[in-house]
Amino acid sequence: MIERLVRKLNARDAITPEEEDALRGLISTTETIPAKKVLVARREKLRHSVILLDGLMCRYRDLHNGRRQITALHLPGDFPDLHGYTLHYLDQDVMALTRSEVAFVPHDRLDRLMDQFPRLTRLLWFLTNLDAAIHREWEVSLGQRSGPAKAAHLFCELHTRFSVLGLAEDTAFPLPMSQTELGECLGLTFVHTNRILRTLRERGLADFRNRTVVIRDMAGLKALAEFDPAYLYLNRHAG
Amino acid sequence: MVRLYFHTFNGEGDTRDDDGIELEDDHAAYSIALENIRSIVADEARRGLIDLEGHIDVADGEGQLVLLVPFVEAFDLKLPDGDEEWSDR
Repeated sequence: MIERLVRKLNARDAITPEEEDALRGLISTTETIPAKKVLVARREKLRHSVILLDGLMCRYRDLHNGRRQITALHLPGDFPDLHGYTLHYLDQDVMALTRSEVAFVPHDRLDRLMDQFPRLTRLLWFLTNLDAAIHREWEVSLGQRSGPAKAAHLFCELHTRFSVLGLAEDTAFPLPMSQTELGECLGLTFVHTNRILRTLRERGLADFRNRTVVIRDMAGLKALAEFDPAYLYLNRHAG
Repeated sequence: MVRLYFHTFNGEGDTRDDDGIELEDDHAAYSIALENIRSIVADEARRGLIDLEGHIDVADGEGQLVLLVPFVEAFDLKLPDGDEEWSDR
């Protein structure tokens, strides 16, 4: 059930069988969430956090003018609101972009884990640090990268993250979201996003069609994005 | 609900919208077209180009044109050459 999470952690530091059992023991219940459902509402008091087992989720913030900024994408194995354990509520909403399987982790079980598994606790801390590192790189994109470079960077990031989970092919990965939602990640309107996708297609770099991204020229895409995967901390013993 | 498609035509070429978006009715289409034009031109402006010759064509599911919005409609232009609004500043 938690294979993706274990895989994600294992890419950074070896998880022992006892630690894997302890992670499994965190889960109280699992649930299937329909697409577009808000799973954690902004400012809601939290007594549990959620592991995404399958599907795609996002964090976002809506403004009064109807604009939405998606601030993070969460893939299987992510713990989208682990930071809710110390913050007690979230400052953003967490929504399922597709039908998703989630596991609930009561906070009192995290209390016990901290006492019994300090190294694993440090790895969970690493996960929230990793989320923060990804946010920082998104800030760079939103603030400074050109439209095509923003999209190129997101594609490079997602290809890397899906690859860690064993969910990507060499040059393709699933991206089950609409052009509007992609635009909400990039801070662009959907027509603008459409044009940027055309630019990437015409330059022979990447193609986003039928909810799949196909990378035609990995080196070219990385160069346009100035993609440096250091912020994804893929070296072992990062935690 | 109605699904409308926003096709863009300007100096960078034609970009067809194959996905479209669901709207309550046609009325929102105009302001959405303006918002999209502003986003595109703002990105081009960062590269030193302001090209207002384009237009967005909004079409329905049968491909019928519902609305044509020229890029230039999305902006109040203040240009230095003999423009009163500019010289008033």
